Amino acid sequence: MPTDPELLQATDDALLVLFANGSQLAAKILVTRLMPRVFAQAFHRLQNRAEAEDVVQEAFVRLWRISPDWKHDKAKVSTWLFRVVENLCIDRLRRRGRVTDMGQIELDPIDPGPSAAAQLQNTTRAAALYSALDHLPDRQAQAIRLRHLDERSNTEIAEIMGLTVDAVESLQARGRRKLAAYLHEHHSALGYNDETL
Amino acid sequence: MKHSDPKQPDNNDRDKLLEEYFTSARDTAPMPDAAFVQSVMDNIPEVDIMSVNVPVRRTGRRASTLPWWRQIFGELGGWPTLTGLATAGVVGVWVGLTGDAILGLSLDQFQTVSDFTDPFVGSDLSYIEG
Repeated sequence: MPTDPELLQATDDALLVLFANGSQLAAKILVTRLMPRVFAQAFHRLQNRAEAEDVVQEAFVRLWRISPDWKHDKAKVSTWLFRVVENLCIDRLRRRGRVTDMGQIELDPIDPGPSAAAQLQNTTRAAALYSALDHLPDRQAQAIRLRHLDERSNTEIAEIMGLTVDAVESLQARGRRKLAAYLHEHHSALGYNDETL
Repeated sequence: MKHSDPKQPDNNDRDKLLEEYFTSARDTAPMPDAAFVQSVMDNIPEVDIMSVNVPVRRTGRRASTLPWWRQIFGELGGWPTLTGLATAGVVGVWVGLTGDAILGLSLDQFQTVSDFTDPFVGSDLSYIEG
């Protein structure tokens, strides 16, 4: 069994196989490594901390379950996990009803201080973006979230969405146009009044 | 910045505008609580190693790409069969050459009249004749 420093250097695939062979430490390293990204991904879709936590917990449970049968050559662990989180979020959004009311968006409280105004602006913009994304067709919104919020490569997005890279780029281009038009049209109604527009 | 067309920002302005929104959303996304991370770790199951099929990386050539004689050789049992056959052959020759001396046995010991008398001589004719 590898030592701790070797485990820290191991790939996600290797860690999952080591977990399947009994290493709890390998699984903990995998959680530490992947958690921030998948939690942010879930939050970007659900805008609710408790629901994002439920989704992430479920996704990791599924990862542990498939670990004995993990195929090295099929997909990266992170891509697999992203796809599961994506699908779990879609299921929840369908149950919930799609369009998010801006009042329901749950962002972290703003600390009072010199940067409070900037934080408030960031929070307002984020809420406006989440709301605008809900007005795009599902696939366009999904392709844009994965690219610009989760910062995944288009190759990986294509794998997650089961599309070609060209199709992903096309969805993103159309989505960006619609998103910009929506934000441009609604920016004052969204309470965003700076001079960039 | 003001746009000439109030309905549609141009491409550069559009990309700049969107990037500001994306950056804001990325910056305001909360980090997972330490307590939540701990709860995910607490839910990592203990793996019973004996119940797990260890994944094996396939590095060799596939059977279908082997030449026909290798495939036949494999179907017949491969090297274990060949070594077993060779051993049996060597032992057979050895017993044949030295069996009398080593075991003190001779085929003549069993070749008495009674050993080779057919107790049912003629019975085949009785079946035919009825």
